[in-house]
Amino acid sequence: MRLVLAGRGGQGIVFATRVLAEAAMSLGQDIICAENHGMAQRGGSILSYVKLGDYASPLIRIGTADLAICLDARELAAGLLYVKRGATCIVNGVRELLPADHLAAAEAADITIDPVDANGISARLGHPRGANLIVLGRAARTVEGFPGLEAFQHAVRVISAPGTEDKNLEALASA
Amino acid sequence: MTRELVLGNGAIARGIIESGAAVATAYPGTPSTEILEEVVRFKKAEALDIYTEWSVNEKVAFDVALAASIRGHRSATAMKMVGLNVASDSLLSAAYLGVKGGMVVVPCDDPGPYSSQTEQDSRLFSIFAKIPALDPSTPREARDMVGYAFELSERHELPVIVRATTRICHARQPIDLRPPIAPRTPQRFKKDPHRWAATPRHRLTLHGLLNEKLARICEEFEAETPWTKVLDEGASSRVGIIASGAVCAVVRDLLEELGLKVPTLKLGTVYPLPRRRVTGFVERFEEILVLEEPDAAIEYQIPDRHKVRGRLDGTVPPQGELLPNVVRDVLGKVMPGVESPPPALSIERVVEPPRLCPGCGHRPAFYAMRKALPRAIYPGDIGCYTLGTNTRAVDTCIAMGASVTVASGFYHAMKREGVEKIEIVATIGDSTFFHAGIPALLNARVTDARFVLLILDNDIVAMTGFQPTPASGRQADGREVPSTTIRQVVEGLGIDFIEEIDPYEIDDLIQLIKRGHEHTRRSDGGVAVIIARRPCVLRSTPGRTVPAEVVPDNCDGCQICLKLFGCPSLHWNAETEKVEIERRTCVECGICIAVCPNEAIVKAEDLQP
Repeated sequence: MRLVLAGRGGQGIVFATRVLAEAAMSLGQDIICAENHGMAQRGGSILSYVKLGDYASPLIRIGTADLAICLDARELAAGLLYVKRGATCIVNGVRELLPADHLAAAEAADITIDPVDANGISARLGHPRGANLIVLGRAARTVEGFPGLEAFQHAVRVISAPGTEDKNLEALASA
Repeated sequence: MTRELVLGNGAIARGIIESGAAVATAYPGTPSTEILEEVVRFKKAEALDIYTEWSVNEKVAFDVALAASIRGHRSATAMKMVGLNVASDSLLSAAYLGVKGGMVVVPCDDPGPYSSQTEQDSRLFSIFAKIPALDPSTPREARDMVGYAFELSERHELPVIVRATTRICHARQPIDLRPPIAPRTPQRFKKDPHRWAATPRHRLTLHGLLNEKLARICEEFEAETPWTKVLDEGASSRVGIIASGAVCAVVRDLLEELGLKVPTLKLGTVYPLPRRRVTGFVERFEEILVLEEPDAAIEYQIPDRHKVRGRLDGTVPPQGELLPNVVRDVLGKVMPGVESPPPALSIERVVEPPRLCPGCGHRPAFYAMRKALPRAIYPGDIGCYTLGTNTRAVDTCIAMGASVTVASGFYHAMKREGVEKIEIVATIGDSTFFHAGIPALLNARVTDARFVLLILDNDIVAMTGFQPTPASGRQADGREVPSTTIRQVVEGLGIDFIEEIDPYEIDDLIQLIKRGHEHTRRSDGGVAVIIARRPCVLRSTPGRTVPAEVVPDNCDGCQICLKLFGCPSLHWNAETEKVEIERRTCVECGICIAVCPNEAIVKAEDLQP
């Protein structure tokens, strides 16, 4: 399985990528992923690539990913650009607020857009930095072939910073 | 054996500690930074006795590691590729002297480039320096290659380069950790001036010995290894591929995806090129496609290139990262029938550029500089604050420390032209000042160059993830060490105008810059140094809470706050044509209140009824 995570610097995309990789590894899957560091932080657009299974390179060609996870609605275009026909694109956002041309283009290419209001949910949970895990949790529960919620819970326990584990687990299971 | 998910830089670090290295040094720089940090993490986790340091610059890092190797220890030094330029003076000399304990140099290239000034290829540097170069294609391979590099280095008494790239450094992969071997013993320095202090006459002899070493290493590289071998050997194809580094992995995945089998010479040993192996492979095919990044180190070394396609003949784009879609297009050029399909949907992706963080102390410093001397030339430098280009506060960005030298150069050129009013304000960060700004400022002082130098001191190397500076008083592994402040250095250089200020005091800073400029105009004046001190906002809170509000009636849409100040928490509402504050990201530093000329941004408390 090949997927991209798209977001903005500071939204915890590197953390989300690590959680996903740890989850896959705990299931005995091989995995290789690539992250942006350095100049790409500071609020700029960020893209992570993840490949689950027997691959040599973490990079993914435009139009071939099986799944896109957009941690920011403003990066929906990045996610849509990378997925193939028939794929799913989970996005942190509200359908009514997503650009109409993006929705139309996705529909024409048979791409399912699954909006999750992770910003709204994270505010209700009092965990503003948990939006990334809310979106990942949605993928864990709905995407076939993706590591399941239990694997993600294990990963969150392994790599959460001290004192954030409970909040992170709550975020994971909330959408 | 434990399996751990590690960053490529962690894999390189693992190779260093598993090989029993006694010394590891580095200067932070993307994409190399985490190598030393991961060495420190493993060292602490496994209670290893390895000396680690963040050096003041890459040449210093190289020399410290080299000396340890001359004494018989295994040592490693890591840097981003432009850091190898800084270290090159010693690197080229060290090739002649050689080493005793294995020495591995890890320069990290940045095809793209994502976070660098150049797309230079450190493998070409290795040819120039006559130092062997290995080129891993995955993090796992990088770990194994580092181990091999130490053995190779020790066997031939020559430093060895393991060249990584962004897609190795910042890839992440599970790796089976092996226990570190014991460090080499005993070590001693056997005095041998003809070698370790060779004069030009002896250098000729050493050059001959170096050439002999390279010939032996070339022979060693002819052998098949896990990283130099032909994949899909038996497949019938008119085209053969030679690939190294991250793009080797890209093309293997791509061929698999396309259901194609093309014989591929995977070449992990790039210099010296195993010539018999390569020419033997080339002879078997009608056409050869060479895929490598970021330049053409393999291609240049192939003696007969008449059937070789690659970066040099333009079949492969001569610049830029070889992403899978680029490689797919290249395959289409040399293999009819492999045309690229149209994308699933046509949509334009707008890439948001990075900006200085809300509350960052650099922003008010840049703003004050532009307010104080709006017509000045602003030479800039390398760090987060290069992002001053967003608000036109950085006019030049050349290399580490070049803000100071470029300011001097502008001054001397303009003075010669007879320019009446020379206005120059240079900006440099704290770590960059220590790295390369010190000789530059000394030179400015003793040539009587005149400009204002604003040292943006955030107490940390922020861009690369909060490494200590020489002023921090602690080292990579957290141990306490003596510190030197920027002020001590500047005073020692003989500069007589030195002021320190918190850049949040924006009006005072504007006046101070004007005063500094006056100092540069006086006959007995000189360079004016202003140290703008404010800890990185990602590491500490602004230390004050001044919530601001926009009074919509006062906002006339002039956008001065967006263009001159450029805080990411200030948003333009295209419908109302007014500015708004984004609460989610605002850190309530309150600086923007001073920026609005129409008093449309005010203290929230002043709005209370």
